[in-house]
Amino acid sequence: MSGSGIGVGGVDFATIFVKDYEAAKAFYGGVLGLEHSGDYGKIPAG
Amino acid sequence: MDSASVGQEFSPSGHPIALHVDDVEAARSSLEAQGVQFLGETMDSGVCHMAVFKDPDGNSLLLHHRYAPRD
Repeated sequence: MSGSGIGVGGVDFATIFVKDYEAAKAFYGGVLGLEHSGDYGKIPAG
Repeated sequence: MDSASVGQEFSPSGHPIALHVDDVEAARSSLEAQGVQFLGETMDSGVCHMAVFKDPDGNSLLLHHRYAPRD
């Protein structure tokens, strides 16, 4: 992937909004097997 | 990310994030055995296989494997 004119080096993350964060953790972690990298402070996200 | 925590009204995303797998059919079968429902049949684009499903909140995801070499 070539760099853009503003010097974008890549994609850091993609956001998926959810209503039920705990259910999402169980699905993405338990069903899909994705690693839960961590929880981010006051905002339920990981 | 919990949408309400950032003041965002929740609306499920219809733009799937593609998850790379080595074998779309095997992965699909595994997920279906765990109760995940897929939208339609697995697609063959001529360069890749794709199978679309949703997370518990209705966000679209897809299993993806490219079998054709990149140019």
